[in-house]
Amino acid sequence: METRINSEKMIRYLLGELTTEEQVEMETEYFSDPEKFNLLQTIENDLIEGYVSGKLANGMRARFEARYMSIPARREQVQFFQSLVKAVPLVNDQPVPARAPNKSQIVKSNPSWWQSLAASFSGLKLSHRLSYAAAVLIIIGGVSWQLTVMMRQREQAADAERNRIAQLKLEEERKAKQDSGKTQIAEDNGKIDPEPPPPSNPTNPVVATVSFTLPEVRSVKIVESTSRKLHIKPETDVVRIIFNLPVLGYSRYGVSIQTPSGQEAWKRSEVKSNSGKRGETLVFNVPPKHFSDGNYIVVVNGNNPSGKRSEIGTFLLDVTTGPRTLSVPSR
Amino acid sequence: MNIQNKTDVLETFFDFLGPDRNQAGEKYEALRQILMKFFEWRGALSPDHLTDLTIDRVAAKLAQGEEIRNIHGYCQKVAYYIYLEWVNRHHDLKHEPLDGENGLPSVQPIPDQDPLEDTRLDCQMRCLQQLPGDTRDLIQEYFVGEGRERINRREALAERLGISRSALGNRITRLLSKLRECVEKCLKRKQN
Repeated sequence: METRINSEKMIRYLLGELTTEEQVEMETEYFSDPEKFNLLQTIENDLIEGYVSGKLANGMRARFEARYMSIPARREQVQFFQSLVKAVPLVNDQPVPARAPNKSQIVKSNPSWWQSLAASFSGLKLSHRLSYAAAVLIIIGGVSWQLTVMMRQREQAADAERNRIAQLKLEEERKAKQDSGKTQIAEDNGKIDPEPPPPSNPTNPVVATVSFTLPEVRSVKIVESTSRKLHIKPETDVVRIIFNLPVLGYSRYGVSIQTPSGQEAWKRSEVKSNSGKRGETLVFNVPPKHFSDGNYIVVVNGNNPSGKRSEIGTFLLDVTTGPRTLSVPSR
Repeated sequence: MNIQNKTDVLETFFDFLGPDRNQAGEKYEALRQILMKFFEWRGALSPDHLTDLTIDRVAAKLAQGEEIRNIHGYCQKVAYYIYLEWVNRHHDLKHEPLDGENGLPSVQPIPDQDPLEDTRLDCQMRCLQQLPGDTRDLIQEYFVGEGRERINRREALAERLGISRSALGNRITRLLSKLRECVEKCLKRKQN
């Protein structure tokens, strides 16, 4: 059990999913313990091989692509394995090799519990054997019936939950349409992100908001050097990022949220703004799962009137998650 | 630090790792590998450069007479600070022209296809042939199967080779590392 937990934690480390403290803890372990370091490399090899051979489950595959494949050095690792599995086809047509025979003295193997049961059963009279057999059949039948009932109950509960969630979604959509606030949620034309999970409180979804304002048009790209702080509580349903822009007249906008190492956490493109006389507003709703503790770089770009994409601004976001604010390692 | 000084500093580092120069060299390589992987797993864009930087700093401290009892723990701390410095350097942004190319490292789109796919495969085949004959079979047997079946196969394989499962994993990692080095050299030769 402990080995399995360690392996899962190592996978999360390789995918960059641990907190800062957990990462440091993992690193302290493998710096001082060569076995742990070797195990981490072994798990990494299995992860990459599993990906190129199509053995990873969908969820793991998505995590791998999002987090592992965005680093150039790691992509080269994946490309290496892709050529390796072509050069050395890993087909499963070989029988499991026999283990080496035990060269020590011959030990009579103990009979299995099934063999013991069969041996004792064979010594009984026929009438007793029939009675036991009937009893066993009745017990098996009873257990099967119980299992069937339990499964039906679970299905019914799952159906009820699905209906409830569908009802909540409909209510939320109806409320969103009725809401005639100043900002309009911009819709993505081409790519639809999977819907975030339904809010725990449908009438009052928990939103973590951060906004950036560019007060005037400038000839140079705005690059903010101070971070905005964003705290995401566990119950947050959506992270809302608002950009208040001057009138730029761009046809479409896009935003990219990146880690300092260049890994893209989330992005949206081909988005229209909500224009007014005094300016334009962009609103992006981001599922909280795309964030973890740490610094992020938010890049806003747009298609200018001549159709060329240009960066409008770069902003820094300092994200903390959880019920309390974690301290960032000092520089 | 000039080259002569750097050489002296690294000599001090090797002396610290042990009196036997061969063993010190092995320890140095092992430490270097851990540092490379640390930076790679942290997502740094140039793990080899940051590894060199880490070793230089640790070696410099040793040359200055600093007493280090746990070289791995010390290297880990230095590497972590160097990583944070690297992260913070990417936060030190300035105003730039709208169409400038400097600044943030651009996020490379994940290519749908490896442009060097055929060349890489050719290099892979050549490199496999250069390694001992049973290497290909070892790799094949190691990675075949999934889940419980794979675990059982590896246990059987380790037993046949007379080594532990973790030793088998290490052997495969070293093998793949050599193979990868060979493939990269081959690719560079073909591209030049």
